[in-house]
Amino acid sequence: MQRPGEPDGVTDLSRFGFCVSLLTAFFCACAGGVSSRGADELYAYLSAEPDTLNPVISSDAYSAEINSHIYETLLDMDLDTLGRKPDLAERWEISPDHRRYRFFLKKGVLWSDGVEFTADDVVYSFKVIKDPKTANAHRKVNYLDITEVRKIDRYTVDFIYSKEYYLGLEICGGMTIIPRHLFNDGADINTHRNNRLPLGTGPYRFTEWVTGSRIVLERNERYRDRKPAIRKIVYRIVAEPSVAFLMLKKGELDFMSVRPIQWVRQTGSGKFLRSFNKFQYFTPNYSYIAWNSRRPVFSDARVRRAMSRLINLEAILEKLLFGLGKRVNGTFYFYSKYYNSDISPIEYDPAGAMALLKQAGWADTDGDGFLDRNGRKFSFTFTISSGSKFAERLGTIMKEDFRKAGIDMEINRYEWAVFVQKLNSRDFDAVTLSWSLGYNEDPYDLWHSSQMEAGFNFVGFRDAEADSIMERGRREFDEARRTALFRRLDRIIYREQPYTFMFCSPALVVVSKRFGNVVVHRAGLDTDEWTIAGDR
Amino acid sequence: MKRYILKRLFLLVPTLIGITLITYMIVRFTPGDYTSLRLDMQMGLKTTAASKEILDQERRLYGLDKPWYVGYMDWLGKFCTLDFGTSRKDGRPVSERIGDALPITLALNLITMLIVYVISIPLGIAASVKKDSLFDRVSSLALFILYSLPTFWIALLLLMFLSSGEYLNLFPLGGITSDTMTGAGFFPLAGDAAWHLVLPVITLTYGSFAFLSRYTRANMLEVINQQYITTARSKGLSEPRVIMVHAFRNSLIPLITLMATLLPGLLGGSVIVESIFSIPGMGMLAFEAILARDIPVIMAIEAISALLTLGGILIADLSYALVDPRIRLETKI
Amino acid sequence: MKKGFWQGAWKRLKKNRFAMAGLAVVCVLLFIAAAAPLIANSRPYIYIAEERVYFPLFFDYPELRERDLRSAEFSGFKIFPPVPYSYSEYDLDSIVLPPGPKHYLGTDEQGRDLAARMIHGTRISILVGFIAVLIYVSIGIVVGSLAGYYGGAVDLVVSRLIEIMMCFPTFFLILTILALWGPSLASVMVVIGITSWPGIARIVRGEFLRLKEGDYVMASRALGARDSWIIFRHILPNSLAPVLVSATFGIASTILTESSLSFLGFGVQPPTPSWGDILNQFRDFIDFAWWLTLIPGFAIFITITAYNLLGEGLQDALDPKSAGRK
Repeated sequence: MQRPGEPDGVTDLSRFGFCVSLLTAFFCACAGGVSSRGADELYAYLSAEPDTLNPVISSDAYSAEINSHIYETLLDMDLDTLGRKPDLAERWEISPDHRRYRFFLKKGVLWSDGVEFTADDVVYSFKVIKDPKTANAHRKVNYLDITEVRKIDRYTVDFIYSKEYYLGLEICGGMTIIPRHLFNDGADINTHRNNRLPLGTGPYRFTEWVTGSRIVLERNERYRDRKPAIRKIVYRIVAEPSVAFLMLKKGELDFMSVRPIQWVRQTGSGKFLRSFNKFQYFTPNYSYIAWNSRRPVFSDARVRRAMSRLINLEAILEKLLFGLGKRVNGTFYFYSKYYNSDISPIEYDPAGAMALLKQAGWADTDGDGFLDRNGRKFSFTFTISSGSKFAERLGTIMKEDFRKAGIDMEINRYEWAVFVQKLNSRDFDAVTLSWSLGYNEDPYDLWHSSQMEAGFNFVGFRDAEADSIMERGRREFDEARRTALFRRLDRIIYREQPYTFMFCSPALVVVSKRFGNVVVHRAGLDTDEWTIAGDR
Repeated sequence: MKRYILKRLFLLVPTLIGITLITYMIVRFTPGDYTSLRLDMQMGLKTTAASKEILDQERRLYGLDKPWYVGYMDWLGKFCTLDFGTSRKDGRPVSERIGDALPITLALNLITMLIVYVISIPLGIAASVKKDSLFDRVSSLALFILYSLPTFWIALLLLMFLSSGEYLNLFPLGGITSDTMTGAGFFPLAGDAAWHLVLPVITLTYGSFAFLSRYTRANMLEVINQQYITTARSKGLSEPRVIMVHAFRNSLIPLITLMATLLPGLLGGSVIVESIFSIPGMGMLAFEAILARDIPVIMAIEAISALLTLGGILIADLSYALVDPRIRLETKI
Repeated sequence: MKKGFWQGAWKRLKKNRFAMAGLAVVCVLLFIAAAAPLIANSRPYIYIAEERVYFPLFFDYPELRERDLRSAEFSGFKIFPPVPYSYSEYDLDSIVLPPGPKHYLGTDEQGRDLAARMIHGTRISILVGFIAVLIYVSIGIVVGSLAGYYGGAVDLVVSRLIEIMMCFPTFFLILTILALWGPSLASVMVVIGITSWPGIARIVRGEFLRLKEGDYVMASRALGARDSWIIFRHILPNSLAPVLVSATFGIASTILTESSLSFLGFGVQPPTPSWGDILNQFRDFIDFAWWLTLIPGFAIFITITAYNLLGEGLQDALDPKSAGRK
């Protein structure tokens, strides 16, 4: 019932709305729209912020990615031969007893602020790494056997090992080196303000870090070698992967790794392929399901072998991963010389699995549809971390398949911190993970019985012959002999099935056509050699 | 009344200590601690039994080897001198990390609050004046529908349809500033920030109109039916004056009371909105700190927000009692 | 006084069309939740072959265990439920299919039928909503009535407790409990229940403070009635109205909370089909598998709207002044 002159809420509202839209338009006009960016700028993507950009302390993959452009090491890995090549050191000498590694540094190498790089930086870096007050436990362990790094003269430095190790050259050559003149001022290295202002000798130098938003690198004009064509790299920090993918399609990101289903279903349209190139290459990694041998249900190797036969890995690879990957049979990288290709990966064989289980004493004696032994049902928990989508999919498939075979499985999903804790305390029945190895991986850390309590051998694998092989291998400098030893190790592990080895997955990378000369080396891509292909 | 205020203020201290103590205990007892997390972040590392020693060394560095009551007293002592400690994650002072995230969250929340109030209140008043009319019914239904749409769903849909370039390309895909804006003047900078904030603000506001406008409507209705309004009308005052001056002013007090309870919310960010729109605010800060077991950051955020919440409750209780004399603050003992 | 009050309220509620629509939707959801295994199941209601009559959906027959009765090898008379899939069976050949004749609402990344998952997901939503709310309403009523009635030291302590709970970071508590007790539907419900009672407690306390000085209470006391009698017989029933309203809204917000938790990765365990979990798993496909995001999102939205309309209707109906208090 409206009386004349009554305040009309609707008119008020519409007048108000008009003001708001005017204001917004005003601001948008000020924003001036998106400015076009330079052709020589590369936009890359990080899904989370690095903790710190000090390579001695940092522990996450994001800082490693960024630091790889800024910092250099004594030796580098050749992307095709996978051997060592000179980087900050021009040549090296190894003593006959493999205890002393001498490096001759290049002269006239400058940190990006103009100060010269010398042996003092190397000695200082080693001191910082080993210092108990430095919070970098994950790095310290690599250098336990190096007793000293000695300066011989301004451009020569010695690494002294207490006992020989076949990866000695790789370790010394790969040690992170930080500038002494920047950090050696008495302040605590863990909270040093230069941890967010990295300074290196590499092709790029650090420019800015807008917290939570982006990290910007620019080309180091003082770089001694051939400078890269890309003048600026901007790392955008985007927490939500689906948003990152939208950015890629919109052109706000230039390259990104995608998942198999995206590779097949979301990056195949004509429109997409006009702007992007797709690259696929393998890196050393493998995924697996680990069976805790300490739990009664998995202590029998026959049971573990049966479990491997109950999962149709071929179908998973073909249908869930769209055939992008390779079945692996063991712990070595599929393309490394240690991989024993005489052994074929375990086939899907439910009948064989049931036979093995029967041998191990499991049968459905009470007719409830589930196997049992000594009155206990065959039931276990599959622990996964909440970050892994693949683990969830695998888990739900396993649960269905196992139920058909008479095995009861529950899935428990934990956040990463708790998941890690469960691994450390060996509090799990079965988990799934993947290892991302280096090109020269020493199986000792994963499989030696000494690692059962506190190391990465969390499934409790123990075999006397395997132990002795690994110990001998560490001191074996003859390639052929070591290869033979490790291939034998592969066979032993295959027989015991402490893991069900699953797949080696390729990196699936999409790169904008704005960049040329994108070559896939054996070890992947190298943005330093990319060229600018001109504007789209 | 004064005695009551003093008593409540005095009680603030043990309550605050209670909250922070419980928080600290929970963090210490939750499985997973910062040191082992960092060690295991990188897969394929070499570890030997000797590394356990190194791990313990690092624990000592962080004070994680001390029992929880010692750890708590340490923290409390530092907190009272306003030393919030250093973040375990990146070694920066906690105050600096909060200082980075807080302005963003504050700005977002203030803008959101402003818009919600500016739209909801007139809507509520109009609905109360035209009670049970078509306008009242339709607006009520529309607001409820908005309230029921899950935030993360709407956020993703907004991005998909308005920002991705597949359909429309009106807004950026997240973040709070464009990369190209460093060193620009104030107005372009502010405009750029505003442009980035449009979608997050929409996401944060659309669900809140319902509650506030219904609340306003309810309060207005209660007031309109009072005797003094009928008196004012019969005195011949114009209807707008009656509504705005008499009715609305009297329903203002509960609204102000409501604002007091929203005070602590100003500092909190929505993790979901922040992660979808890549906004580095307090929500992400707190979430990541919890996942990383970054104790100093968790404690600092918790203590500050507890302080604000308690303050807000106190103000709300006081104003509510002031308004309605029927409500007794407490009973006689 | 009580009976007339509730009857009058019901009459008023019936006149409110929106609220009745909400009530209707809630009833439909309750029905779907209760009958879920009968609506979506891979086993038929009845199967007649070779003169034997089976009811595979209701009973477990060892010879038919783990056999797919939909395949042609089982000829004979069979009647299947409207959605002939279970919520956990996967089919790697039917990955991410759009809605069609074979799968009415499409499939997800493992080939699981979305319709079956949505139907079984209704159970989870209802369960989470009702049980969590039940938990926190019970706690809230007990705590609030004690504080409001006895006052004094009891009130002091309880009010501080309420304040402490309100200040507590809910998410943090959720994470911790999930980490300690293991992630499961029960943990999520309990933890939402434990963290949400302060609101109800404050309402009940307020009501008690107000009603306690009422005439009939004084009269009862004068007649020598026990405290518990007064609380349960007189004050509590009259303070339930705002509690009921708050609880109805609470169910809606609990469902929202659960789906938000699932979005962040902290909800139910796979393969449990909660709507929020379905939404979460497939937000990557928003640009090409729209059905995976739109359908569960829409379901959540309809459910919450229904509860909210019902709650609002209850609020109007239960307050005779029909102005609605807070």
